[in-house]
Amino acid sequence: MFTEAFSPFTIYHLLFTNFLHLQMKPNIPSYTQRNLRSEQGLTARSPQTLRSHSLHLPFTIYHLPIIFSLMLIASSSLIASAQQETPPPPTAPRPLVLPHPVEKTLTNGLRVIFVGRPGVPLVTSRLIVKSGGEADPSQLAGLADMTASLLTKGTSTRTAPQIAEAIEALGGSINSFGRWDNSAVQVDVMSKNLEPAMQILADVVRHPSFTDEELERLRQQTSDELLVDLSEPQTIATAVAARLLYGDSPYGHRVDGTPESIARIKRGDIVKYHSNYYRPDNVILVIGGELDAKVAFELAERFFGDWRQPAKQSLTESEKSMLIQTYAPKILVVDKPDAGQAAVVLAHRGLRRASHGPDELFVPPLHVGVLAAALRDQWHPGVRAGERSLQPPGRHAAP
Amino acid sequence: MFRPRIFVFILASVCLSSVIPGSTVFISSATAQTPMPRVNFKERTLPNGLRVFSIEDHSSPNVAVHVWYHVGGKDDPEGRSGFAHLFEHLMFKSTRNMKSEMMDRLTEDVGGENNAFTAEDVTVYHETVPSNYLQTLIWAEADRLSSLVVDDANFKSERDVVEEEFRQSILAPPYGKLEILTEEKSWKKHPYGRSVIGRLADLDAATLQDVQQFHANYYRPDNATLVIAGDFDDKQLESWVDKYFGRIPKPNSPLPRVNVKEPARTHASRYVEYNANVPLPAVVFTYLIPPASDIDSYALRIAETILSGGTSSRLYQSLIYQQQIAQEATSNAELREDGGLFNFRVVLASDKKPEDGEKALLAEITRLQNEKVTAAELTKAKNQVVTDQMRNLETSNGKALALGNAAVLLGDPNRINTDIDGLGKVTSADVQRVVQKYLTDSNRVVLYYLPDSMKPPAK
Repeated sequence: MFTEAFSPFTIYHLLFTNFLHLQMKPNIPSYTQRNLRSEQGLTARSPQTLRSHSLHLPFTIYHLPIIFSLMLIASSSLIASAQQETPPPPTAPRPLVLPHPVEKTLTNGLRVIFVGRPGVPLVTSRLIVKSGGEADPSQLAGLADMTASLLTKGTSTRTAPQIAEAIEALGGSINSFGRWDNSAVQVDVMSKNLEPAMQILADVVRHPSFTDEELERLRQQTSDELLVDLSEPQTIATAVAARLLYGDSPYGHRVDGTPESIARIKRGDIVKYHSNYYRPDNVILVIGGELDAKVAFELAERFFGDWRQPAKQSLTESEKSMLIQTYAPKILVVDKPDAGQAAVVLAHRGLRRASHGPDELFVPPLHVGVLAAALRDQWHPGVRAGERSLQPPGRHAAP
Repeated sequence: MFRPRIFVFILASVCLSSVIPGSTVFISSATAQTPMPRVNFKERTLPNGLRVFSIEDHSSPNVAVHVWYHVGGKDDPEGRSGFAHLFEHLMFKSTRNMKSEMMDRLTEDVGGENNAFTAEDVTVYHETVPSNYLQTLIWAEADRLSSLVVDDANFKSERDVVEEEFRQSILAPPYGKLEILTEEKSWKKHPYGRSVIGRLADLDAATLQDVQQFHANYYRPDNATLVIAGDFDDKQLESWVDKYFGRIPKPNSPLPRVNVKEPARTHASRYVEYNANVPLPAVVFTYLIPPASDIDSYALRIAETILSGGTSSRLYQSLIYQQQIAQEATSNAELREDGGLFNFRVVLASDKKPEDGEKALLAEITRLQNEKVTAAELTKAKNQVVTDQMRNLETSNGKALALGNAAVLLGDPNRINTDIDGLGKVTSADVQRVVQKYLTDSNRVVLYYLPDSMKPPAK
């Protein structure tokens, strides 16, 4: 289960020795809510992206080893009872045949990757731009996310309601968002409807209108969403942790911005972000589902083959990567008297993702564990493996 | 708390398996000829009453194991709201043969996952593991059904965990409390009104003796349904199920059941609640609707989709896009065994009044009652529902969930395949009829959820 890097001892050492040391420092700074507003970072939640939960989980699978290690420490003393019958051992493992991705690069530099998956006649087509919130100018947190979100709000030939109507009439959905290190536009449809869906996908990526009316509407909506999100202790704690760790450097801000930064974004900023980063040589199109590879590549060629490179030369390394600074560990307490629960975040800089090669290691920029600590003076036993859920069964499985 | 998100993640995006290629059925709408993969399953019942369903599918070497207990929040003992859920947590403690949290070792340590959820009508334990561990998991599930050992120490520690979950899911997020209030104001007699998560005071009052009684009452083979989906050999599965589950005796005691009938509403009710953490005011409507197994559920699901399925839906277009009075506007056909709720929830945009939200919502309901939906809008809704339905069948876990739901909650496992026909047959007239029948003035509860700052000054 544990890799060496995530052994319980390492995690304990990493987290608690620093922590205990730090606790001895006097004068823990206390932030009021008002001060906090300029300190917001990370974690996004967009209400219309039901099918993209995996993209913006506050906890990703990468965090589990850490959380899990802590749980083990917390629960080890509970283990004590005699075994009378032992579990039957496993039988021989069955071979795993993973679907094989096929890849082509169009003449304009756009990479197309197809992964077939027969069984259910559904297909997902996701266009990934290899730039996201890390490229937001420091005063314009949320620019990448707003740019992506506005794509589906109008093109030179379609209005926002027309785009929604067209894709949903196919039983599909379209979602777009900017995250760390990437922005994405995704359509999910029945396989037989991929062609019209790809047409819409290409239209919103290549010909967005970015009208002022839609920008203002989105600004208002985003601002209200942030108001709701930032009333939750966990969101606030995560945001502040990111700022403490990365300061003004990339990853230090909220990827979907703050009410203040959202107010500063102008149409020109969005047009500029789009023309800088949405270009064939900075894009990967991934198509997966029940489909013929031939059809997938044909559609990619038809809708993106004539997308021309901008005159500007390809993105330089300095534009694609940036200086990440991290700051000395510290403890910060945000006083929120009406909170129903305290959230505690331990943040530590993660490994840098390798930029080349097949052994690419992905580790998210910020390792965050939120421990369900109550407002008391000790770690709560809520930190354990069995956090069960209250969740209705798949009620859409049947009426 | 953390797990449900992971759970959604797995349902939505991990390619675990696929459906058995076989015959397809067609949705019978004139314009939407959508092939739906058919799920082939086997069913049998052991002498002790355990029902067993299996879906064999060798496309990926993993298997989903579900145990559905027909007991949920509505079965919480009097004065013990939240108990079914608390009990669910205790099922991860020790048994005669397993240490506490050993279920995690048997699943997570071999690359699988496990979790459980408690709903109003059922409690479901589920695992997905590499298929060569199937026998181990069948043994483990049978073991915790028959030999759970709970001592006072782990009962109390787990109760603390559940109370913390209450704080995290109800007290910390801005609209957590609204979910409890919605149930509380919607039910006059039925225990659905207590909410599955329950009350802190009731959880505090629970005793170890309650745990033992609850296990004896509901955790028995004739109240359980085992669903296995994925890579296995049917003969071998049968022998393992017989060996480990077959030896569990069927108790003679009767199975307690909730027989409370919720009386029909005779007039509209209205409530206003205030809370500290309400960033934007919210308006909720609820209407009583028939049990999930009722034929009208099909048309209600289509109505729900027309109203709020996606950004081209009526509520989104009207309240969020055009009028810009709402930050969120949803409708939800909450289908349950003893009768459900058709809910609307509007979270207002900044500086908008709850009265504006209520008026706009009513206007959309009235429109759906007065005008038949067009053929195009109906087809769109069906396409959306069918796509959702298909997505549920992409994984072994999804298939087990759908089959368990059909068998336990709808009372007919074949509904996993026939629902698509039922939905396909819904006409514009059906949609209009159910909206006129259930979304009436006298069947409406209105709830305003407002920040403390809007409270009128005390006299």
